[in-house]
Amino acid sequence: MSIEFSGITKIYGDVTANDDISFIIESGTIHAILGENGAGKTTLIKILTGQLEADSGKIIIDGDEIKNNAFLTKRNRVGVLGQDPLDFKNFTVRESFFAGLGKDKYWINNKNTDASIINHASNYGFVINPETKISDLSIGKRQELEFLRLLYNETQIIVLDEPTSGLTDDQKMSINLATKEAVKNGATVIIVSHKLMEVIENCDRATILKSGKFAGTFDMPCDPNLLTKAMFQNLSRGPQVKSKHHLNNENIRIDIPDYFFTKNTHKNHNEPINLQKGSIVAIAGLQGSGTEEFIRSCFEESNNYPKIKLFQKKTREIQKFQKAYVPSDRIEKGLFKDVTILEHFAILYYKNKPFVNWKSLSKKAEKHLTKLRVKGNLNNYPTDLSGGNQQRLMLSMLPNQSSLLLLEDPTRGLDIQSALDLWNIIMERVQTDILVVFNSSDTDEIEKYADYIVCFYDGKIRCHHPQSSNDGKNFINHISGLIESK
Amino acid sequence: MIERKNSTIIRFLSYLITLIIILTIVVVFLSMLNDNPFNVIISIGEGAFGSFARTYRTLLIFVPIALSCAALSVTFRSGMWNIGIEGQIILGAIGASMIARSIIGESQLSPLVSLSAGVLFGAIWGLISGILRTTSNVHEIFAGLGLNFVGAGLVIYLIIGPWKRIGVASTSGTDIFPQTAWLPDIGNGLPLPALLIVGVLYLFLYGMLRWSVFGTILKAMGSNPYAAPRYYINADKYIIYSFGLAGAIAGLAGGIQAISFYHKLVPSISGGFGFLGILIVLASSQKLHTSLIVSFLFSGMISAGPLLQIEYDIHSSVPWLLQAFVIAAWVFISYSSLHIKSAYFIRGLTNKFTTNLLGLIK
Amino acid sequence: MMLENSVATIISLSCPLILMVIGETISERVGVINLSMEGSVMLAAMLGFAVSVMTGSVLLGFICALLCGSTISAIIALFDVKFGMNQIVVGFILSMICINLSNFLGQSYVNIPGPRIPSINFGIMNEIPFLGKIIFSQNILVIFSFLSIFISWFFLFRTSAGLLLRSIGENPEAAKIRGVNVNFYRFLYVTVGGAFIGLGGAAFSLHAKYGWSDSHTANFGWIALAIVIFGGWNPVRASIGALAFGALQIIAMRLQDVFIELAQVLPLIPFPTMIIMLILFNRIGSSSGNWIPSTIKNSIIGLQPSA
Repeated sequence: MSIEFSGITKIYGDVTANDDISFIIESGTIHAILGENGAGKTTLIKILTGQLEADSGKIIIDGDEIKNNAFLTKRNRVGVLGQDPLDFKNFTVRESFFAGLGKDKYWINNKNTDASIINHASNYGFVINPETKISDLSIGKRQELEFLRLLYNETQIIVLDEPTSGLTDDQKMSINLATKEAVKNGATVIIVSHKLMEVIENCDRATILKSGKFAGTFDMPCDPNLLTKAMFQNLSRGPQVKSKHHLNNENIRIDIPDYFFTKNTHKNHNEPINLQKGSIVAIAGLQGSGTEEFIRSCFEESNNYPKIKLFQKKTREIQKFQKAYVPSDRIEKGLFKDVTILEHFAILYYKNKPFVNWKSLSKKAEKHLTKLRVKGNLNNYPTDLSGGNQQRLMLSMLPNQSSLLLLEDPTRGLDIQSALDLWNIIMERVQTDILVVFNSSDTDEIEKYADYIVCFYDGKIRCHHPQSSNDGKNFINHISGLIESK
Repeated sequence: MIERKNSTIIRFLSYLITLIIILTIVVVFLSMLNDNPFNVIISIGEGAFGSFARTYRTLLIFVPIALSCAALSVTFRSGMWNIGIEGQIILGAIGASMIARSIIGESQLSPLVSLSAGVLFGAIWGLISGILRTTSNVHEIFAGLGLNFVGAGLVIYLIIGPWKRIGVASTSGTDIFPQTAWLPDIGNGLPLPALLIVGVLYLFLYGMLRWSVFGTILKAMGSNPYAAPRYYINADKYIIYSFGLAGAIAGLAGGIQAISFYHKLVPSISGGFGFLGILIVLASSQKLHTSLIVSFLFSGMISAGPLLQIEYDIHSSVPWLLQAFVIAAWVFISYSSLHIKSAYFIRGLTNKFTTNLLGLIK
Repeated sequence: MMLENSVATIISLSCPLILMVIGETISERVGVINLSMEGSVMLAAMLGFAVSVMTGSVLLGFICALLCGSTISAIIALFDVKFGMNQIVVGFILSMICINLSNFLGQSYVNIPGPRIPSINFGIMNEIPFLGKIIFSQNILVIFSFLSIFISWFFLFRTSAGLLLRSIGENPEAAKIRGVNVNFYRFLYVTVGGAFIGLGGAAFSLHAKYGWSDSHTANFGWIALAIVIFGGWNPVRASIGALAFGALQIIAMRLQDVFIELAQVLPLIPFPTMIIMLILFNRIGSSSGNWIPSTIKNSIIGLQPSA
């Protein structure tokens, strides 16, 4: 089925996620949608699948205009493979396969249905065991299974969102083969991806979205530089607030556990990173490449990732209360909706004391707020503030003895001006005695502010080096996986 | 949440609307029982406050309800459902009874020690709930229910077993405690000490929840426990504290029930006041002053129960039923912001009306 | 002989609980927890008895009880799906209303006689040793409840409709994206669950604990909720829990003559025992997927009950 997007627009408050997007996906092709984080890819796909409603514009499939959710309810016409497998963890393979289908009225005979799915799988070169519990499978296998399910249902439009993340090489090859088979059988496949090389190899065409707008459709194969140029636009190079580096003599050492490295990582991976306080470190990588987990692991232990240890003065490990962590989900993980701003400060500064001196706290809090230019007064609730102000609020709530500032995607959801403002504040006020570590997929931001760059690709570190080095200047290629291991 | 942003007029109007709706429900409900609902309402007043003795009885019912509400305000503040409150009340009563029946019961200090024991027992029961909840996520409600049953079983066992009345084991309760063990009252029976306890506790809680760090942290945990690590707070710790505190207050209620209202231990020592407290706090959006007022009104209704039964042949379940309906309506109104939307609507109407009127005059 | 009798009695007396846990299992499997069960069971029991006394027909009593149970469950589903109100708040309030409503409306039916459920004569089947006594001498209701265990199990785990039901409770997002009309099925199955709960109520007042009295079915709603979790949201395991509970009750009854005090307490012991076992199982089995319906998990953790 051919899919035409015509004038699709979707606006969230200040942000225009999709801005009058129009292009065509030909029937029976593998068509990629490329773009930076925040370019609008996910929104567009969600509009296609009916999860979101466009504010204006229409979607035309095989010549017929689609009225929103009608598409999804005709099951099996659109299938989605998201980054997180949309399956049922506690079901068996067999159950997850057939759930929601309504294909067979009764389902008494396990042997027959088992045989049919095993058969189906082997046609594509996959081996599955219907008895296995989904939770026992790796993410890669679960994605494979989902794909098989879509093929089994003869889904006509298959949407793959970052299909090969978390997969082994073998699995990647299998998925790619399966994709080609699906197309042979008449399906149209849409792939949302960051991986330029894979897109060039496997897709027929690629459409680029940039800042919510359509930025061109390219036939594959094509010169990767063409693509990167279209994808990563240089923002208006505002006044270069190049850091007045108040570089402390104090050194901070980051010990990164082996977990984050692979055989593809370049030469210097085993060396710990040594930086001076006052530096800014960027953990660069496209969305989903593992940068957020890195930042989080710097802050605390988690179930999935080993802790990253940071040391000051050679041997003293930086304690939790010396680290300030600003999560990307501001409201969900960083602020309390029903608590006033003043009370936030109370929690931070007085939590071990019985009584609060509200007067002196107010004064202190006001000082912090003005220092960081937060627009809002102490009796406001976090939700009263704009996104940019929330971010500044979180920055203003730094514990007294911070040595480390961890910023998760600091300018996420901020408009250009707020983002600039935020960085000005970080550079002017915050940076002096603190090591700033932030993750971002905004290459312009990284280029502008980072002294040191750690490049992530596909969940692991590719390399890390100062911005001033040659590798530093080419970091965009590293994070897109374009430069293979040396 | 919406209330913060509204002008005082809207807020006042919305309260008024809620009140009117609730009163309408009461009147309609009562008129289904009796031709003249207003007579019934007057009788409720009579039955609750008609004489000194009746008033004192009402107050004695008011105390445990108010204390339940206080306890629940703490746990709801931290975002928890303390359905185990009935068990905590029971354990408090058991603790107090234990002291009252012992040698200490003969001394003047008995009430003080009793109530302290009640607080302790209730707190422990609450802590168990809290610990179970933080270590095995789902079972906040089921742990609470289970502990309720354990408490109920325990109290029955004690009443017909080790603490049974001399001579005859009866489920009507233990022997009456010695007078020294009773919570003293003033004059003809005004339970002033009990009321003072409630008053002091409410003041303390109000201050604590509003102004102390602990109260603020509880509120934060109730709002978003996931943000806690960022502020170096262990969410679990505070949740356990809130359960412990709630249990302590509930235990106090149970203790007062034992040594003040009943002067002995009976199987139904918690009287359903725990669950009633849940209803009240839900409806009053955790506001302490509202809970206090509603507790008072409801205790009047319950206290008037016997009189209603005699005069109008109204079954004892009626006051409770009416209360449940009132709460249901109130929660629905609050949740759907019906009162606020109506307030805006009315204001809009009056604005239109006045502009039209002015237009006519000109 | 003694054993046969006891087993038969256990099966017979556990019938209401079995129906209740089957109903609640269905409801929770589709993601809705019915905290009103304590009240709705009581109300259904009262209505069932009252109607059958009024009309002389036991069947009508059961039908009314069934409708009562499904209506109350439907109300919870309505508030959850349509108004987005917290299931637990709605359930609890409904519970309180229904408990008192049943006492209020049931006043005139306290301790009066009424029609009984006829029993079926299976003829020679009765002569089968052991099985004959315990199964075939029961009345229709008990046999129905027994069959329901297997039918519900089969439905949930061996049919595609049941699979659909479970998928809604397991991961509603994934179900939605596969084109399942989550809201509709939630409504449907919660109501079906409620029907079973209603039947369970009537099974009390018209069979297991005949008649009506003040708070006649007290505590059984809460017990059923616990058993459902204890049974891992599986109708067979939950029913076994119900039977175990019934057994304990019988033991308590027999012991009553011997240990008076213990007899009073024994009926109450199963609840905490189960809760404790529940907690132990959860701690041991938490990583190996002790299945918790995701929507229920979200309802309970981090509740914000303030209106």
